[in-house]
Amino acid sequence: MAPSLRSRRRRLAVMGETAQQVLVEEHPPETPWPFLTAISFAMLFPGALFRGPLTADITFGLAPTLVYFPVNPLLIIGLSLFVIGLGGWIYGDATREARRTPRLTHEEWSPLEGVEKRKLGMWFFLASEVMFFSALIGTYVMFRVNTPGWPDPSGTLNINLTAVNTFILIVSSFTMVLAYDSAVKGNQMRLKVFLATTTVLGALFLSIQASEYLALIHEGFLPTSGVFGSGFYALTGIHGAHVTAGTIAMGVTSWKAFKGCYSKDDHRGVEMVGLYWHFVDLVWIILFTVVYLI
Amino acid sequence: MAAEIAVQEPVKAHARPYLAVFAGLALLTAVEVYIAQLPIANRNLIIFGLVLFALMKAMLVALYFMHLKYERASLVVMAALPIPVGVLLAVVLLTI
Repeated sequence: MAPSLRSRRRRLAVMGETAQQVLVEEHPPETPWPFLTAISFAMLFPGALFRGPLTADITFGLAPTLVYFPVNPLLIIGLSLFVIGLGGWIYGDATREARRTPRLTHEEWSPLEGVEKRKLGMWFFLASEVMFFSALIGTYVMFRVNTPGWPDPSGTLNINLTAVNTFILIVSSFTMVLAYDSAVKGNQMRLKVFLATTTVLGALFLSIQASEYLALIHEGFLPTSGVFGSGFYALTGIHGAHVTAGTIAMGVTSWKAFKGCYSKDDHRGVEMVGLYWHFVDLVWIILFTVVYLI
Repeated sequence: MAAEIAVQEPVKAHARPYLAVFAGLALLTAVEVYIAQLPIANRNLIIFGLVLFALMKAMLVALYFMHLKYERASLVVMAALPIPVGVLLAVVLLTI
């Protein structure tokens, strides 16, 4: 639907203020996807928590048959629904012609007045992520303090490799902020280059983390290797999942930048993906210290 | 590089020191890795220093890269409010 979006932009440029106001008042249509995604989470988490092996007695008419599930079926159903829900959500959002959310025009006073709606939504999401990671890291620290004879992380983990990886993520945050800066200034060439660089750096971080996991598993350091093992894989794995999501989002944003979807006046997509990316970098900064160094 | 562009663009009142923040982050990471390998007997002192550096880095990212320094204070409060809850959780778990 990009051509229509572009032609709409051109029309906007011609008609000016009036068309802008008409567009601003359009609300995004109601959509079932966020609800479906939420339902999928409700199934995913218990599915992941109470994982298999699970057996069930199913009587097919005559003799009772034992059916064996290697993983909790809830996890499979939840994961499928999650992919469908999020996919539909993103697809609907990407193909919707007038995707502009109305700007906050409330007359009434609010402590968050003037904060652009989409950005406010992103910050609410990030606040929920702060809660999530605070609880995770808090629990890890509790185990770290309460477990006598906690192993020295440098004895198991490759600190220097991860230090390089940390540096890669910091550089990617820097290129992201430069991409945003270019978008603000309307420099399309720099915007494309920096977004693409950030995507590549995100993928590089993930590859290094994958190679680190493989080496550790090869050495026999597994999620079942005591509290340190399960804590390490839980924290770095959940963070890795966030980086994966961020890298995919960054790839989509780069692709849209190459299609010319962001202008000097409207580059909120770049800002949103940037906020998420910096947050993921911020979490890694804490994780690197808490898991690898202390 | 970032400083040059900031000069060209006087519309944004505050020049955003992205390059300086990046340099700070890289430097603090290097210092952290160095300190962690120092043969100091007092492990708690090292841990205190490392956590302090990590928090400084996190603050740099949040304030400058995520532009919290230029946002409304209420947004900052909203984003930071869950952190004390996380600390509280750790403290409560420790006392069980």
